[in-house]
Amino acid sequence: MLDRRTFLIAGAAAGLVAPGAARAQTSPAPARIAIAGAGAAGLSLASRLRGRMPNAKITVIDAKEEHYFQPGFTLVGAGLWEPRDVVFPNADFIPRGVEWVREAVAEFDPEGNALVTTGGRRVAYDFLFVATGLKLDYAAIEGMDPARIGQDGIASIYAGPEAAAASYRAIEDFIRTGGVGLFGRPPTEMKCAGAPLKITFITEDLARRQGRREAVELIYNAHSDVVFTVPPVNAKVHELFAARGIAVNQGHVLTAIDAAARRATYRMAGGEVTLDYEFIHVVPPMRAPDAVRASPLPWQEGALAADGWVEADRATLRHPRYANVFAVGDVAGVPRGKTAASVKWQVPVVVENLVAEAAGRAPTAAFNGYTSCPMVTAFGKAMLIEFDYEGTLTPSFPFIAPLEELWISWLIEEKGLKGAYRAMLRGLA
Amino acid sequence: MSDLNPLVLAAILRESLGGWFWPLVVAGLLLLALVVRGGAKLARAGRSPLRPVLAGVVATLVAGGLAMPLVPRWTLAEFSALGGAVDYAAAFLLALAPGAAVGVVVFYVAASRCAARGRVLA
Repeated sequence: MLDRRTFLIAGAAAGLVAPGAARAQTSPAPARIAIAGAGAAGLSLASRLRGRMPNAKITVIDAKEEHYFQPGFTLVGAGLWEPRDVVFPNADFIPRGVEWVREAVAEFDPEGNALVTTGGRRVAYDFLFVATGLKLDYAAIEGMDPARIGQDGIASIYAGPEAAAASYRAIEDFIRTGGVGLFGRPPTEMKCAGAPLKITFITEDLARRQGRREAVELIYNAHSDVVFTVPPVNAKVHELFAARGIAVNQGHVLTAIDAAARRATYRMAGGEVTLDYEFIHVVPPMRAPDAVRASPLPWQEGALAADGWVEADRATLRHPRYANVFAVGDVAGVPRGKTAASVKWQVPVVVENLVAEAAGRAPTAAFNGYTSCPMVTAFGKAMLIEFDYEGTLTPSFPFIAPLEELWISWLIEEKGLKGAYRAMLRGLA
Repeated sequence: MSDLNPLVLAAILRESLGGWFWPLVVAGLLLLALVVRGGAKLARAGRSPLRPVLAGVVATLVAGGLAMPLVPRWTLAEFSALGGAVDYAAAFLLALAPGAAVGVVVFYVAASRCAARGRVLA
């Protein structure tokens, strides 16, 4: 017996619109599409699907009114941008003809092809795109309260635009007073794994520019035996850290901080160690949001199961157990890929495959794990690092050496990314 | 980034420039109109465009060269941030944008004078 989804696809295939090989195909399928989340992935999906499936009923579910350009948080934390530079109204990017339910998702019911919002509304779908983003789990670090960011030597650029600005003030205070500054990253999967390194480089450069480099001791506490999982990048960062006098500790996982005493506790293979500090940049563990974790959608076993990342084929981002469910963006349980650059390549893949399927063709588009990190190494300099699932460097521009500190890479970070990101949200890039 | 094509680039420019996009498009069209008008004046007067074009190109390069040190500032960096050859090339190419505006004006003025002299000689 045909279910509703199969029926829609079969019917749509008969009336497929194929304007020509040079133009993207569209599907007339009147499918009900739910997009959980209006972040980079959710908005980009809504824009592309609106254009490719004009008869579909598309619903975006997200309570957030403001959209954060998170790749810009580092520049706010560097004191170069203002918080307002990284905040856009979500309403500006919801395409015409797309319904926006201004509530969060409370429950996923993939067996019933529906989700339930925090307001109790049940949204039935033929296809679901899970694009909720992730949860910053500050509470997992004992004694850490995001409200203290900017005080007591605590910084964390991840918590939001205002927190990033407060982090800059904390960095300035630290450079003025001097002492030990601690940096690091969590042991979980995380968004933009380059950001903890960038803020370390920025702090070092600021101290040097202010003639206070000798007054500060900078320590990067890596959670494992590497500071970056791509070997040539890891080697380059180690080289730069050594040249700039930034010490590296391996196998240090931050578990607690005593803000009043300015003491941080790290879990190590052989037990615990406590380090005194004047300044600490906290990067919290990251996990799937609670509604996702409480649903049947996450991986049931393996490395990605513990934190609730949505089970997904790494090439198609399709859920292996629920064929009408896709996971895109930070919440997708795939290696790497928690960057806007990954979203930029993930979204066309899932949209292309859905439209192909609606046309009765075999879906062939595949995501190769592309991700990108313009690694800021000083004010005015960055390394444009791009790589795939295998950790192979995949430079887009043959004239930009990925492991060279260049101003042109900084130019892309400071002037190019925001425009490209906004165009991506509109489905234009 | 392999999908960068003129339409995608235009969309990115539009989003990057925000409210400046359309004024800059209009300014670009005005400069284009100046080039066309200068060329038409030379054609009507039967004068060679060689000297005005040369003047325009030289003015573009000189103005671009003068603007180049300001380009890193535009990105909140210092001139000393330029490192590799690709940095200098990119900075110079970006500086050519304001340089070209100067060059077009110089071309137009030179073309107008050249055409006027042609009419007097005729």
